[in-house]
Amino acid sequence: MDRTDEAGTASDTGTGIEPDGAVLAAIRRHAIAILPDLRPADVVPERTLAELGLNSVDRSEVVTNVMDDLNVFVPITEFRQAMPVGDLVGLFERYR
Amino acid sequence: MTSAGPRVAVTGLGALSPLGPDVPRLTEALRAGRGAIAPTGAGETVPYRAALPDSALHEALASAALPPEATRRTSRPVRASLAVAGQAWRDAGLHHGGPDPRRIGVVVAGSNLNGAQSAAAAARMARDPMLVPPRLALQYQDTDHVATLSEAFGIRGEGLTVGGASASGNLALVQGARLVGWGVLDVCLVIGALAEPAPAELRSFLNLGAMVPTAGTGPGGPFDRSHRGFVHGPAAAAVVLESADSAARRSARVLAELAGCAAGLDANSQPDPTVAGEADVMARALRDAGIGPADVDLVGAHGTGSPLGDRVEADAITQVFGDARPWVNAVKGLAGHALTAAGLLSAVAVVVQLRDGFVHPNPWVRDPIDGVPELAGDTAVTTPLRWAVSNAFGFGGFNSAVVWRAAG
Repeated sequence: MDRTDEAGTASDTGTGIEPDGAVLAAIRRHAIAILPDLRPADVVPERTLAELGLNSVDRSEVVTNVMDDLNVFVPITEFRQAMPVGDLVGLFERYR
Repeated sequence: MTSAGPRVAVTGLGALSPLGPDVPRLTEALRAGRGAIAPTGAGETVPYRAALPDSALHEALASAALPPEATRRTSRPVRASLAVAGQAWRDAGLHHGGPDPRRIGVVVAGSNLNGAQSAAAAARMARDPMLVPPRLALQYQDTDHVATLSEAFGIRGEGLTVGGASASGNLALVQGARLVGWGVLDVCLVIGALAEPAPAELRSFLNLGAMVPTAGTGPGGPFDRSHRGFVHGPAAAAVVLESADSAARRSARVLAELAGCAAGLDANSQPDPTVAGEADVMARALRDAGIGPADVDLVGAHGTGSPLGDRVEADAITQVFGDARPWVNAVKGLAGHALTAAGLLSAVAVVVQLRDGFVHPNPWVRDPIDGVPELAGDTAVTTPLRWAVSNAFGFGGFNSAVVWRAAG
């Protein structure tokens, strides 16, 4: 269950750039800021943020905060419902 | 018509302030006259502050013993409200059960509470509008405190915010006391919310001349000739007001009684307090409680350390109390000025002094201004107290006074 060291491994970034784990770390940090009772180890590439208890406003806040943190701008139309965390990481990596 | 006042019981208290993360530590600091005002250091926008560190907020939340999910999706100011509300809720024994949730209400003191968060969002918007946090739509509104508290404590009665600048705390107590006194509620949670002004908003007080402007000769203090303005001291505080019947039904311990109150306006939009306006609310609050000036043992002054404000309040106290000379102290000399929460912090301070029988010292006073009332000195005065008045005044002519009676 604890896959905290496998940042981005479940996603295919399609860019040929090896992810450095910064995106997953940022998603994790902002998800926990919203739900303080969430554990870092719960935020793994296979799960969706919705499965972790984040509602639509929460998910939108995570995405906005990750964009702000990493200075990566992903068009809102690129985000789909029920994206696993790994796919989110891949999407951010594409625009990094 | 009777002038017996609302006669509402106080059954719970909570406080998170520069003097400590809970009421026991606030009480200890008050009794010792241990202040928290200190120089801020280079690069800060104000020269002095009574700081409220994150560690104090964490401790306050721990003492509130809320379920872990209660702090989900909350801003820092709202977490402070949850902390003091949780402390007061437990202090009142409401965690063991209380009235029908539709008979419990919440009144939150203050407006424009979250300027710091809006300023941070504005900075993000300048980079790209897409970066504005969507939750700001909920969190920039002061009503977020009311809504989050209602969810955390299952409150289903009336809820509202009350704004009146630095008098907001007392005005919220007035509204809470009326809701209970009129029989609309059995229990009203009254919260002095943590105000986090934007850096520019805080600095505007200094540029206006209301704050201690420079490190210079020290922070000074209320009613002393050294006063040069107020020092910011962010805080949150909570009082549970309850009808005597409800408190009796659940055998709640009564800490004190809110026995009378009065509020009024100066018909003046400026930051210019008036002796007539301040004296009027104190006199009317005493009448509302059915007592005279000679009955009052303690006045918890608004006392910000503003030379004009101190002068006007000292004259207003003298006008109302004359030769009665109750003890006077000012919690802002120790904890700084909590802005819209100040009235609630003063209220909590006054209630613990009534409960424990002491008058907190004013240790910064070395050379009192002329005509100053009976200021407590360097050490606490231990004496039984029966009646106390707490004042709160705000820019724009908001005047308010609350009368408290010791329990028993």
